[in-house]
Amino acid sequence: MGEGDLYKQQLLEYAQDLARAYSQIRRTQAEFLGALVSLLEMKAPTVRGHARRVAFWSLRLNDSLGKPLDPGALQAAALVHDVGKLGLPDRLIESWVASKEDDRRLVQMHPELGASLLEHVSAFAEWIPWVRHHHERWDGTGYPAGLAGEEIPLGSRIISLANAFDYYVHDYGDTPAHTVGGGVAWIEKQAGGSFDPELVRAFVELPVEALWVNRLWIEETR
Amino acid sequence: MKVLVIEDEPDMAALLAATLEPAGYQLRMERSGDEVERILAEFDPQVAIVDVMLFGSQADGYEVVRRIRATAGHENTLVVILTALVGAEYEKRALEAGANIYMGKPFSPLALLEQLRQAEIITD
Repeated sequence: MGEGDLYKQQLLEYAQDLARAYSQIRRTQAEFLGALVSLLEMKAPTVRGHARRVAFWSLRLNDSLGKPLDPGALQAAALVHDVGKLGLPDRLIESWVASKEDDRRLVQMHPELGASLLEHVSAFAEWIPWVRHHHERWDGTGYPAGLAGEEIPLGSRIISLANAFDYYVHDYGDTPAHTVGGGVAWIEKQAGGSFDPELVRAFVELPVEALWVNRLWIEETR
Repeated sequence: MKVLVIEDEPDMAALLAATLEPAGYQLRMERSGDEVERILAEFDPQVAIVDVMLFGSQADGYEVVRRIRATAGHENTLVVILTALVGAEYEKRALEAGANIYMGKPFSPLALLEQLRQAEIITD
């Protein structure tokens, strides 16, 4: 083999190694996030499947908007949006609506706790704000920062809507499940209050009933 | 960790630098091993990566490796022979000359980094 051919072969080795290394990094990140979700679900069995369903609806919403966000980043943020609940006292991990004021304050720390946990991985920097702000409301009355309108990162607005829809249509122990149609109607009513009106419009136009099919899809998204 | 690279082919040397520098290795690149004793004294590397066919040099890579081994303080330096001469015969010659690792070209950059990482764990 001449020096020129050898050099070409060597460049090919570099390209292949780079591709292997890249896919290894992506796989390791995805596995790490999956492990975090599993850990949360071990501590809070009633939320099993919630993270994956929120990721499912978030990605559908992003698709319908013409993919303004990197789907990989959005999926990651949606999967671990509640990971900060691991930092709450055990008795509060599964609570969606805390009755005592002190408990409510603690539960409302979970987006910040999750963001600070994820900040240990610098590669996640792009989408960590989406986790931190997924409980902001369009009208500015959410938490932790009280951001309003387009001050709220788009990723957070998407996750917030998907999160609320999943909460509404599932039985998490403290509230009964509603029908899918009822969930969509409820989301529609919150346009301009909890949610970005434009996102609500896109969500309402999604073939939600068709995507739902039946409860089996929950298993498919796991 | 300091790595001495003796490679006469500029493109290959550039690829080696592109592999090793981002991984945090401190490099010294040389095109010839004729003065390897002086280079060892100046740079004192923990690793040497040596090409076999060094055009324009008196000493070939095997000779360079033997001289590294004969230099006080470098009896245990990790030596990698990186060569286009591929085959069991050449591997045997490389190891007999005193190399720890033989790699044929084209080599996998990740495999090279992995070998160095493992050597680092052993010496730690």
